[in-house]
Amino acid sequence: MSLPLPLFIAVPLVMAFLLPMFGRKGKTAATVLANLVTVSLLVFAVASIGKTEVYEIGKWSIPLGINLVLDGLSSLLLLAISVVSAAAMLFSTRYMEQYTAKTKYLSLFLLMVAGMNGVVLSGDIFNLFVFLEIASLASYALVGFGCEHEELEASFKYMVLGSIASIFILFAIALIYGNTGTLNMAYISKAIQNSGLNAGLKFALALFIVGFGLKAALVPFHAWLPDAHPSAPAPISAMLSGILIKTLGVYALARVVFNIFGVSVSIGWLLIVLGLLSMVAGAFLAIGQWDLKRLMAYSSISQIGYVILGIGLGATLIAQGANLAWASLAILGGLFHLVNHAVYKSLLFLTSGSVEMATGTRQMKQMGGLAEKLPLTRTTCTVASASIVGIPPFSGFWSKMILVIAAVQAQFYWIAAIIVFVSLCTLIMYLKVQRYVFLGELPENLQQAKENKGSMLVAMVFLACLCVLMGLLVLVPCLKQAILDPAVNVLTDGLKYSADVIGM
Amino acid sequence: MPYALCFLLFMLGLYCAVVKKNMVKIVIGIMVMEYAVNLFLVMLGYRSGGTAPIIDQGQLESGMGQFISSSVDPLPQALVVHWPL
Repeated sequence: MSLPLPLFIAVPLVMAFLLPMFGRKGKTAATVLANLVTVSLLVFAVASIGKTEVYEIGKWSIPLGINLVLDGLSSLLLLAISVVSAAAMLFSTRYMEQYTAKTKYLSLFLLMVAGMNGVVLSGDIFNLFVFLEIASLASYALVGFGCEHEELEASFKYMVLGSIASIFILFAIALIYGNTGTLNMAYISKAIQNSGLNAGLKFALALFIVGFGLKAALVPFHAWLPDAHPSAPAPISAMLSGILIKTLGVYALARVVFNIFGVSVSIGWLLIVLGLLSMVAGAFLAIGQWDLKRLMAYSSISQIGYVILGIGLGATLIAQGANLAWASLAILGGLFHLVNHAVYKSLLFLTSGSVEMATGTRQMKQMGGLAEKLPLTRTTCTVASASIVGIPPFSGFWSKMILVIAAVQAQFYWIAAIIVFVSLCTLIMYLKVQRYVFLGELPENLQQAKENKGSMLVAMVFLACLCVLMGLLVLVPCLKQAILDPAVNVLTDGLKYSADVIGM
Repeated sequence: MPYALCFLLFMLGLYCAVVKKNMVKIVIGIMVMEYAVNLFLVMLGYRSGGTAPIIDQGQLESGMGQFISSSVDPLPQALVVHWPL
């Protein structure tokens, strides 16, 4: 069954524009429709595993028209986006009752999902930028959704930095157009392979790294994330931390560096250094936090560092001409960690939302002993914490192990040591969460706390089961070949992207 | 030379967005950066002695060769109109 690719973008976009018509009376109907959309996107994404397709919009052939490309990396990210957005939407049916204007929230949420699907599927670099802007604008509004002072400040900070990043990206796209004369990613790649990089294109690559690095919250550019993620409502924190920074940041960076420009040793080392900085800085800054969601936000910065480290290690190995199997392993570690982090970090933010709804606070010093009041939240939070720390058999262990093996195999022993050290720091921070939130004494003002049942629990349990099962993605060979290997091959054979797309 | 001035405008906008503390001034700084990039995009398509990229009836009937050889590049102008959505 060949699914028309624009459906991934059109369905949430149309529904996002229809939902505000429901107004306040039709809130239940709007919620049901929005959940139907995210679940159907999940079904579409699962149905499109393993297919590769190029869809020309309006039947205008490339390079005159815009095309949508579904290859291994796109289908992996579509899966991640649809899983996390289905779970977050299910969670927000009950959680967002605390806020007003729920239909506007649902509409913005679907707009963000449509934008992310567009970024992942786009085959034209300006089209990627347009969808990146759609997703970013929707997320600026969603971060400040509660309209309290702290949330609006965080949203403004995020908006300023995000807009600056988008303008850098547009400047880089303009430079690319000026130097190659086309905007289609496959044709740009071909032109760069023919003529090499001149000064303008190198500057464009630098601008891309800054712009996408800011969207991905890499360390010199991470300043917006520790304010934006705690202030957002919990399902939006889950979406932002779980997939937005990966789609708009890591995916776009990987596309540009591997498929369009081609890797070089200096770019690979730059990515490795940025990854290491993010890992270490995020971990150290997280340990001292007392606000639950702020700790998880710094932990996100740290884990994105792992992903960029894996991808940068693969890039360096490819550029040095070393054994391609080593580079594949490093990229496999990075991409698998990306998907794993999407699942367990969104689960962590959803559990923090459940805790916040029960206790009314995010400060860990005011909580304690919630294990008997919120048993299911406690179990799912423990599963997610074990996963992020890297305890076998949960999913996080396998991706970290692959990254360590890849670093050792390439004889970068110091990188492997830093990976293990940061995992220890992650263990410290999540033990802190478990100790102060769930164990210990229950303060008197929280004696009335009770668990919220229903859709929130279904979403959390769904993600927790995925945390346990995702280890199978690398252990079972047929699953690995169907889902992860095509994504890894797109990046290892980076320059084959242009030949594949033009040939189709 | 115009490209250097465009880049100077971009840097001015970036300075303003980074250094100022008044929220309105920060937003104006971002807008100036945006204008600088739009200017850069339109300048990319310039051809010296070029005409505006609008086709009139006479050119349409007599064949597009003269239009294509003399007009400035309309694609970057389309990008400028298109991207603020």
